[in-house]
Amino acid sequence: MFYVKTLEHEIELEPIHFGQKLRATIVRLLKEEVEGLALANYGFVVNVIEVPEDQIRGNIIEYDTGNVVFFVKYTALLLRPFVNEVVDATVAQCNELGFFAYVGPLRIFVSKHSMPEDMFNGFDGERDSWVSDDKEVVISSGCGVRLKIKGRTVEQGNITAIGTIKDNYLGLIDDGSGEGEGL
Amino acid sequence: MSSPANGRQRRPIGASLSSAPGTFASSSSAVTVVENAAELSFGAEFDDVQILSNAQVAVILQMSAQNALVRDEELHDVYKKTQRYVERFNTMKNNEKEHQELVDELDNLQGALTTFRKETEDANSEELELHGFEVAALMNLVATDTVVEEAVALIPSLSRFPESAVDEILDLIRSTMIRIVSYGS
Repeated sequence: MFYVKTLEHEIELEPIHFGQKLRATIVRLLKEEVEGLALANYGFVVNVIEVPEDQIRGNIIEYDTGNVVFFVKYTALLLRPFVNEVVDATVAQCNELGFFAYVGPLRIFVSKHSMPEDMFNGFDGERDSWVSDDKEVVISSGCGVRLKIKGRTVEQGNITAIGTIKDNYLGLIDDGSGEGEGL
Repeated sequence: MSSPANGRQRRPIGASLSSAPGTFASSSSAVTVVENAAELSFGAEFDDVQILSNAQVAVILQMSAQNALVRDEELHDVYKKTQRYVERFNTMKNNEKEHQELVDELDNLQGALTTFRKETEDANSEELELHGFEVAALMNLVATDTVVEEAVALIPSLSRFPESAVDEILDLIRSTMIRIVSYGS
């Protein structure tokens, strides 16, 4: 789910940057350092929305290096998976253990144990897709699926999630080409 | 509390990993709230956040992308992936509308949903309102043909509302959706 939150970040600047464009430099550096990052508890930073005028504090000159440390408060647009949240995702690849789907930069894995009974054995190696017993449902790369997030893993700088399509109203939405019907 | 059907399931309690030097990381506390969207329990640090639906994010990212274009800046990978995602799964888009109009419509809908109140029929007679998470989830998942049963299955915390209330809520969203999509500017 996307949300907006105020976060704080430390930027260290060398004296060469001080001058007319100090503020612009700080904002630019902030964006470069923070955008795209995956923060452990807050999720992916998709975009820095705003750095309010009065929110840059920087009074400390490091005597070792002569740099100044700025504490910048900014509002950011974040993306974070919440447990038991239902989201739509795009399928990226299938293998015999399950399939990977993406919500933007967030990767979600749905194992075959989290698929409906009639899809459990439905992995089609040739077409790289998961097919239900009655051949009605084909999940392959590019399809849209509605899944429920069951768990979240945070590793070095990356957040991934585990999902399920076993419950009612979850599963295939469209095949990536046009309109389709949800299960 | 977890379903045995799932294979790997790791839930980090109070994750305290810092992903980069200088990042604002949260520390783990001894007693952590077990996060569960179905019960609307998210942990203290999400109390003051504003949750956005895909549609609103789509508009924000479009406007921001235009700004970046003007300033000749590169859009990073996460940004592009997110934009592609919200563009695809946005049920309330209308390419001919002005951004500001869309923002207003969506904000109106979000406001209407947030201020939606329903009195319970039992002795307590307390007022029920929608949590920010539910509002965003509704705006993301509901289509014009969604029924009450489906909405409650997808967003379990809605079960505290009587059926008629959920129906009203779905109507609100449906009408805004139709208005946005069909009204050409």
